[in-house]
Amino acid sequence: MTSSSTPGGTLLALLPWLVALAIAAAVPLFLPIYMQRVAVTCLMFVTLGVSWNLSGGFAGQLSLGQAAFFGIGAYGSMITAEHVTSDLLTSIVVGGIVAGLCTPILFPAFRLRGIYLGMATFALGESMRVVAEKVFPGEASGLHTPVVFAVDSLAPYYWALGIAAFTIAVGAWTIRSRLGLGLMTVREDDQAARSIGVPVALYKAIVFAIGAFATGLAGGFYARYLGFIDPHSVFHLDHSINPVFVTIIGGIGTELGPIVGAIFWVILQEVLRGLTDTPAVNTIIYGLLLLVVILVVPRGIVGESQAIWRRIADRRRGRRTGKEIPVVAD
Amino acid sequence: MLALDSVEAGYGQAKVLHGVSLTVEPGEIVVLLGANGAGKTTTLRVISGIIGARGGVTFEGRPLIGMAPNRIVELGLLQVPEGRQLFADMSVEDNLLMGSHSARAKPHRARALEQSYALFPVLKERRTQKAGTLSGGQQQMLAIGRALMAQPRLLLLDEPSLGLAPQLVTAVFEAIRRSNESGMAILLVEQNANQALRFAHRGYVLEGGRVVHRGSASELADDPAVQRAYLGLRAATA
Amino acid sequence: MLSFEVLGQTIVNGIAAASIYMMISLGLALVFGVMRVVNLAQGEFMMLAAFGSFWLFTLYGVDPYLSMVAMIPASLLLGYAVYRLIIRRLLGADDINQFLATFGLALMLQGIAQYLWSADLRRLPYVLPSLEVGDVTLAGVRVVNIGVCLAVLAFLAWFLGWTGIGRSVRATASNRMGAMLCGVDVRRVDATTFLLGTAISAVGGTMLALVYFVYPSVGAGLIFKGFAVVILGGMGSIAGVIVGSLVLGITEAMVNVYVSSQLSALVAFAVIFIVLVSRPQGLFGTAR
Ligand SMILES: Nc1ncnc2c1ncn2[C@@H]1O[C@H](COP(=O)(O)OP(=O)(O)OP(=O)(O)O)[C@@H](O)[C@H]1O
Ligand SMILES: [Mg+2]
Repeated sequence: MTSSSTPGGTLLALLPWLVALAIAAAVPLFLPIYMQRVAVTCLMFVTLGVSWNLSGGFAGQLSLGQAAFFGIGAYGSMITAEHVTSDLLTSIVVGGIVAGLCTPILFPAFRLRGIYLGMATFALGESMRVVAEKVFPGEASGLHTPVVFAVDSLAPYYWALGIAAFTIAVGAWTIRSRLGLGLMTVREDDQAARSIGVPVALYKAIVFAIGAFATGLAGGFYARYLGFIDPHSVFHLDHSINPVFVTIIGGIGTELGPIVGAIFWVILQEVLRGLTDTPAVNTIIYGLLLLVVILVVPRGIVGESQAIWRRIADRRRGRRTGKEIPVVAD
Repeated sequence: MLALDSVEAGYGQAKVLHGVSLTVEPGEIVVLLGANGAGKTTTLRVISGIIGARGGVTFEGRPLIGMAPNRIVELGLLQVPEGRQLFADMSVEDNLLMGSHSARAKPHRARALEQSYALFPVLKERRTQKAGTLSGGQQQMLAIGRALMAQPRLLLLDEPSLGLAPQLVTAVFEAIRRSNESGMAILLVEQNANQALRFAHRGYVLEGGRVVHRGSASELADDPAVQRAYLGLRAATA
Repeated sequence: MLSFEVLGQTIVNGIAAASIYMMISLGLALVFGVMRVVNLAQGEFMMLAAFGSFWLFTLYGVDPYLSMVAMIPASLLLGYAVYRLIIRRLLGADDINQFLATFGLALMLQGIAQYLWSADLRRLPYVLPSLEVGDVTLAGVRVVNIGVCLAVLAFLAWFLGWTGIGRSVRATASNRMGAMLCGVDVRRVDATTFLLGTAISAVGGTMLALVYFVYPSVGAGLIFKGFAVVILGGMGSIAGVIVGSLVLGITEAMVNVYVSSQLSALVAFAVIFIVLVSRPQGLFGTAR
């Protein structure tokens, strides 16, 4: 924040990101086709995780219904492609916009906190799925569009990378803006935030709309990428849980967390796939990982590394941190 | 009987007590005075084992730090906490019965219940009523009655007069005095210093987590500094 | 179509469903009431007991009502391990962490069941003569289920209302600090409550196996019915669980018959969302 006050500082702060982007752009050139597809999944996780982390991590608003926006984005882009224009960019952006415009379905839940917000948004996401299955009934529930990408094309990777990079950039801007700082006070205590003049409801609405837009882009891209969707797959609970999952593993409320978490999780899945092909094992690891991370390293990979790094830095400076007095009662 | 030696305690990183030392001898009424946020409640929480601490806390020579709250109760050390902490959706009688939950008190449950009802007849009238529906004064009586059900040897009271009408305050203090006459030691936290010093034997004044004055009740009542800070002012603002 | 027979049958079906919803919701409500922990893995205790009864019947011909009793000690072992290793550490943790940790546990148990027994839908083919009153018919196993449910409720009423431990459980749920200061070993109360909830859900598992399919994610589907029930009835309230289960079971049955079978799945989610956003405090008593 301080470094971005001068143009040179901005450039310096951006440098690591630009290098990372360049590396990410070069990566698929060295990957077999199968791994390119895995990388596309990974980038989708990054997009979903980063956008979830804005509301769930920085603003502390536990949403478990992102699948609603993923599904809306997917249907938005497919319907656009079928009836309006098959242009890829247009249809994906329409998907994102439609999802963003649907943010008001969350408004009634804004007064809730913690697990109650989580349950309400979860219920909302699942309701969307049930309704979509009703609205797009039977065999015809699926939508097809002509295949856009050749099998061995690198294009899907760069589309996914573009969406992920866009989301990361928007996220980075958000958390450094007044909006982001306001939301972090909401996370600590929304009463206090209100009393110091933070427009809590408006800020929540904006951050959820940003998340819905990015999630809708991901959904729209996913739909066009596959060329076929149905309600069950695009409104699936997985699209609500995965972003939370990768963010928790990587480090909730840290900028790098969802990115690191997504990469870690996708690599781990591939390694496991090499060892066994039973989906049940995948589920067990998924559950175990979640459990262990929450109980042992609740700050995630990035959060924990930062904490360790800070401790080392403190020690080097010879500063002693105040020892905590144990509190036994709950 | 009870001895605190340079006790330090707090919540998370925030330290609240910076070395509190005090004692209560058998049969004594000791009053702990101090302004809002001085750390009086925190001191009682440490004694009852609700929060951890560093330093020494002993009850009849036995160290209490690290001991679970329920085991401290088994030693006969009871607390009437700030905010009363009643079981609001349970009946008055169930609240009292919970008071004699400890193995030490259970055998005397029937007699203790009678005594509590004798001390506070209004509780007997309302024994099937939910505790949450009682008036503030009745709730305070219930909280004291509940603690007395455990037949305490040392009773800690955290601002029992808070929010009560004057005649109720007198009744509550009277109940405390009678319990003390039956041999129970008392550590009383109060902001109502005038009244508390009138019937306590000794007292301590806490300020910012440190004991700043100590002495017999009359010494404290006559101390100009104490008077200025806790008697005159408090009476004027009360 | 809109005859009284259909209506009567629909209500009876709803009550039969409610008897199962109660088994999962009682566990949720007890654990939340005492520990303020939301246990998402409650449904998996049910699923495992359902599998237990299924296999005992399929492999050894053990009568399900016998295995229903046998599942109780088995569930207590698992429940105690879960309490010690996981639930106890979640006391006072952030909501989100409780939610995700118990979700992780739920996934793990589902994965283990799937690994051992595959994701197939199975049936426990056990039939009892059905009960007919006028034009209303109820399968025998459902009648017994309702009976078992009433027995569990009676036991719970006795335990909470008439025993000393039950009184400490109520006291701890009402005011944890107050209970500690009365000398209650709240950790023991926690463990007792958790195990009680586990055992009730295990009994519910066998009930479930008798009237529905058995498969690894069957509990995951039920947990959200449980949420709907406890949110409707008031988190942590036993009477609320009874009312909430009946309301949910009967409403679902009605929607199923008179509206659309697809949309009956919507009822629980709609209940969660609407009740939470319209009366967030009102229905949970003191929750927050
Ligand atoms: N549960 C808690 N968590 C964090 N801080 C606390 C907690 N309870 C008290 N504190 C802080 O500890 C300090 C001392 O509080 P304590 O309740 O011991 O004071 P007190 O002397 O009892 O005051 P009062 O007269 O208002 O009851 C205060 O600054 C208070 O804000
Ligand atoms: Mg106090």
